[in-house]
Amino acid sequence: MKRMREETFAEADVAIAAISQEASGEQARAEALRGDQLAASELDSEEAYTQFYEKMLKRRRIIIVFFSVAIIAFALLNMAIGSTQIALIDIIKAVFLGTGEGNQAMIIRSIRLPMALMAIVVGAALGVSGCEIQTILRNPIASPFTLGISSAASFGAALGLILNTGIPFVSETLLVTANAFVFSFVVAMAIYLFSRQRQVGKTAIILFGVALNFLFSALTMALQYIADEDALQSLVFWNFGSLLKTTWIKFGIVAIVLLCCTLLLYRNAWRLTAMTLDDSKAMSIGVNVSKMRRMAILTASLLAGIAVCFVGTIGFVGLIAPHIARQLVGEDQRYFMPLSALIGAFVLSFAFVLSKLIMPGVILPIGLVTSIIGIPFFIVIIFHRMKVML
Amino acid sequence: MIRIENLSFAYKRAGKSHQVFEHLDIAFKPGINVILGPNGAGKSTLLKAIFGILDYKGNVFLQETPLATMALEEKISQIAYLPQMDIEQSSLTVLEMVLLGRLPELQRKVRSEDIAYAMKSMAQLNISELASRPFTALSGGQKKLVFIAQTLVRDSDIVLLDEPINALDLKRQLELCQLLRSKVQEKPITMIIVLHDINLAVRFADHLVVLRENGTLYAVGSPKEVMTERMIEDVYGVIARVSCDEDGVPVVSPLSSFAQ
Repeated sequence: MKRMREETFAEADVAIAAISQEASGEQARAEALRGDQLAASELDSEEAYTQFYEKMLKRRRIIIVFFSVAIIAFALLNMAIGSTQIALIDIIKAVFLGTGEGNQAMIIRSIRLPMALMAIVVGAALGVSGCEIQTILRNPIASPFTLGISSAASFGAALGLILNTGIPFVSETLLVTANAFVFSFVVAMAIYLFSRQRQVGKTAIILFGVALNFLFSALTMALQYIADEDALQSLVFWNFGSLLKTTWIKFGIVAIVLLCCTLLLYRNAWRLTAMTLDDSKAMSIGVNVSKMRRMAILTASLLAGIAVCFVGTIGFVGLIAPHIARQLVGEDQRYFMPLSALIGAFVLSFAFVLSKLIMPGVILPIGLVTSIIGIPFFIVIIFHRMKVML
Repeated sequence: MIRIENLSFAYKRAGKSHQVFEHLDIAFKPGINVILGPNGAGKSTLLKAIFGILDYKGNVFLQETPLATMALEEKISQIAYLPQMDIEQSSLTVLEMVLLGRLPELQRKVRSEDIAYAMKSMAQLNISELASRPFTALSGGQKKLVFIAQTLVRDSDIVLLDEPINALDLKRQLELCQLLRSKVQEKPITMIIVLHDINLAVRFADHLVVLRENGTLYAVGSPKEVMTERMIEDVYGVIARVSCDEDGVPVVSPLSSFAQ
């Protein structure tokens, strides 16, 4: 035992001597090195860094411009394709110059243009909503749908369609929309109030959302059980999601909400970027984490709710748009959030074109198309990501 | 200068409360203050209390101002805090990550002055060449250095670092210690650092604060005063030999724990 102790002493002494020797030698070397580096870096590096940063931002701006142009192209395509094909030149005349006569101009201005624009704003709203929900919950599989917002909207719609009841003093034509919105908003408020409690972390919020999702799905099923065939069919169609009932007023409402929410989020871009960090880290650099999380949950739920209540359940846009955007521009919210919006808009416009082309003469429900093209695409992204991570 | 007065705090979990501090008084002077203590002694909790992310009883003063009355922005402008955390994933680049440390100053368009600060901070930690790399692609030690650069980017007067040298190799550890030392020499910064490496702490600290289990203060003072065989035995339950090296710095050689 005693020998062992002595050996331990000897070993420890050797080790400590080695450390302190290295320390003094390294110290001199490191100091010399640091002096050189600082001098060198002050001469040319600041410019180099700024240049590197500017280059990175320029690349991001190019991506944003690219998607903006692509969206405009697909919007025009959307207006051209339909039960009757309209030449692009006529569309441009009718939309931008206000000229053009007869039925065709009327169809463009009051039917196809609002639909094409609705695809853009709904896609953008879902994209932004998904982007913020993924950011604040730091969970790549979170989306407006995981939080139960769409299943609540669906339940609201079912109430209107099957029981023909809902919010008092709302005209029958608006009943389904109003119901869907009110129920999605109720869920949004429930999640908001839940997240206001002290010590509620992000996982608890996700679990609460998942629970609400199941609750409202079950309630909708209960309604389906007692529904007659006609009502059941309307509900199935509502759940598919459709842009065909778009009016200028509906478009206007979604557009205004989208604009207000994105402006609010953009003003907090840096703080939201910091929310990608661990809570304690984000707090340490000056973010009021719980306040930021509540603000973003409310905004994102509102965006998803307003989008879903007018066009029905459109899946996967809120999930895949932020994923693609993140891969293209990273998580700086000054670019990530707008690009999520643009990609959401692009995906929905693209899906809308497809929905009219897949079966000639039939317009498939757009929600069906986004899910069918969205899922394989998403799987490809996941595989790609896994490769990157390995 | 940070002064803690009559600090009491209890963690509440599943209805039970676990007292960490009871009527704790400590003053941290300008210079390098190292907090030592066994696991669960409340070292990290103390930093959290100082930064104000805990609901404690008592007072923490920055000079003469109680920190609890300060707004977050005001606090951030004076205190830099590196929490202990799990290494995380983020697709931000290293430059962006360090820039985030200047969050209150960042405007819609990043000014070249902010980039210059970030750059200086990265150069000081010898991670300049990582600037364009995505954070996710870094090793654990590199990620740690990025967070330290992010914490030091603001030149704050109060710096709280929770186990900054974990995951760093020997060279990086010494470089970091030297950097912190040079910062303290430049201006009277109060640094409060949680460390586990006793020998490094002894070499490096101006003042040592030793906590025992449940956040009782065991000793405060210069490394020479505090670092005794008795202290190691009382606080860590370990028999150790404390000798002096040729510079007169105490050297601790742990021998065996009580259990053996």
